[in-house]
Amino acid sequence: MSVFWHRTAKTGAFGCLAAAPNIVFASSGASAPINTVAVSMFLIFVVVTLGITYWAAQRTKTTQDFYAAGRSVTGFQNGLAIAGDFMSAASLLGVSGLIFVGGFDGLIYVIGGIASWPIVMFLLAERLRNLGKYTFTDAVAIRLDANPVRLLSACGTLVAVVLYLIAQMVGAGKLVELLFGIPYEGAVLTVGVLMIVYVTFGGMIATTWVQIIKATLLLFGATVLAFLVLAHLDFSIESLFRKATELHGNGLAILAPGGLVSDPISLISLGTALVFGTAGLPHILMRFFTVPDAREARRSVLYATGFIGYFYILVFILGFGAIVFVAGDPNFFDSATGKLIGGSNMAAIHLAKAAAGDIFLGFISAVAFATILAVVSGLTLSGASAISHDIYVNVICRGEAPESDIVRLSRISTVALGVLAMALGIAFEAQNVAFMVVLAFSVAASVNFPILFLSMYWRGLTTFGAVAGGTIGLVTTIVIIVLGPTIWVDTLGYAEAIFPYRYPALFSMTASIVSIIGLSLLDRSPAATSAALAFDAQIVRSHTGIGAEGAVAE
Amino acid sequence: MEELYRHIIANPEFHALRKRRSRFSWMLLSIVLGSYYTFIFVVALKPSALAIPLHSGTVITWGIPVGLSIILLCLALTAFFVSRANNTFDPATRSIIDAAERACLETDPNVD
Repeated sequence: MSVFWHRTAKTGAFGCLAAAPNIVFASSGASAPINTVAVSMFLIFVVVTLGITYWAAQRTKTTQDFYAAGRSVTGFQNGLAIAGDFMSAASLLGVSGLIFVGGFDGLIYVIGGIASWPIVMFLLAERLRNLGKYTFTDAVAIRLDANPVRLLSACGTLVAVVLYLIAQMVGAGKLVELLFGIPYEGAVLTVGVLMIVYVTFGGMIATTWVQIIKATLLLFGATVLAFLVLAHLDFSIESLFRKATELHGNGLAILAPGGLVSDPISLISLGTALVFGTAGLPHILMRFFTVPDAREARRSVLYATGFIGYFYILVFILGFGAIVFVAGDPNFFDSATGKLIGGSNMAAIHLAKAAAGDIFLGFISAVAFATILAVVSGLTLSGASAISHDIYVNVICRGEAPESDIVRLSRISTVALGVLAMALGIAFEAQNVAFMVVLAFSVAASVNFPILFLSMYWRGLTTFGAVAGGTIGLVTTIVIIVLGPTIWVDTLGYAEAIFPYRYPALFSMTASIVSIIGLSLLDRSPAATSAALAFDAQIVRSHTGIGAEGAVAE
Repeated sequence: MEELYRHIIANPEFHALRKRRSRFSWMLLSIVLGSYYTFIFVVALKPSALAIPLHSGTVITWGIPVGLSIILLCLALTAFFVSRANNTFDPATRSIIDAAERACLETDPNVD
């Protein structure tokens, strides 16, 4: 049996990143009976969030309301919302499933997910808030030639957002089909339509509150479940781990590294994607503009780190708890194949049923659905900001578009992105989409993060260096992932990959940073000189907040 | 506003504060990245080091407390950063801005 455990670990869960769904369920053809408890709880969530959207719509009049919730979100609320963006269905289901399969190695995802937050705090949060307006692109464009830089950052945003959206949509469809007993297309359309309604009418205010409610429900559900697991074992961590090693096919090996990723270069590259990718995710960076000032931006990160850290410790307990509760039970676990019924992402769901019964199963299922809904809303809003604020207002209209046009165009972009997400979600039903998340994180780590970081910290950065180097980073990421095992072997079916490593971030981020710096140094144009001169003013603004976008209307 | 910027750039206290802040940030950052990449490299290159049991008679390996302490370290350093920024850097920044505003008024009383 240990062979089966191991094989599942190598193939099923390999291509996943912590903050994103790896929701690849084993069978989706069989139609499950409709789960009334789960559906009713989800309906309550929908009614409440639609009520909030109605309330938010009354308050969404200007562009600043639409993209930055009027800059009226507190640090605590924003911290919860950021944590909500990060605690996607994959964190609950994907990471607990990884731990169920691979034990200790699931901790790599957990630690990578946490370690990115201090980086966001120490390097980005305050400066970003002081320099930007609605998108991280604003901060980059402040002293460079805005148009080319905005186009590239908007591309980085849109690529990351669309890939992430596809993965979420397909995950939502599969998950809801399995848990709720409603068809795949129905689930994708439900998510798409609700998300369009939240974002179009309620903008960032509704998106933030949907995320806050969901994060609270998710933290509550995970706390209860972890408590029940530990109570069952008389609150002994020792017996949790001991029982798990007795029941798991790999025995004591589940408490040692080596179950999921065996090749060192891939592991280091994965670690790099996790830690720097998060720091470049556009929908998370965007949240720093919803608070009044840099001080609240700082507090947001502190709260977010606390919530995420707490949540991941719970997920770690749930993963091992699932081994204890589920692995020996033929209702959940097929010992002939060594796999969970429904796929490895079902570990937390099965655990909810085994440890807490049907009502709680319904609750956790509804929370999982709500989680996907909240995350896609944030992604869509971020994509819409790239289209309307970065490209339309600033590049096409040179920053001179009338207010009413901007809000209208933002809404149109939201609907268009939502429809695109639904169409792609249905088109990719039968595909393994886990690699898209890897790609989204890698693009964020190789395009968005280097440009943002260097624009804030390096006087010598020039427009030419940023645009050309960033493009090299984007192309390298895509080429490496296409030629690597994930697409070349797993998707296209060739016997051997041209590029041997699965995760591009280590190589593509290095390529990006080296070429941005090298090309900036070679750039001797007058524009390069003026960019360097503007750096002093930028430094004053980023440190003091003088000139930062305030909480008042523009 | 540009006048204000000029006064701040000309103030040596601003540059001293900048240096202190950035030294502080980079120090904390190197602790986080250092421990994170040490963990990743050990998992990648010498996983057996983390597979040693804590003491005889337990199944819990060193990997578990090491992993948990990285999580707690990240949280603690983030909290330390916020408290330092609130208590030390923010007041210092405020007094530099005030000084610049006073200087602006002295040179040109009509500026806001």
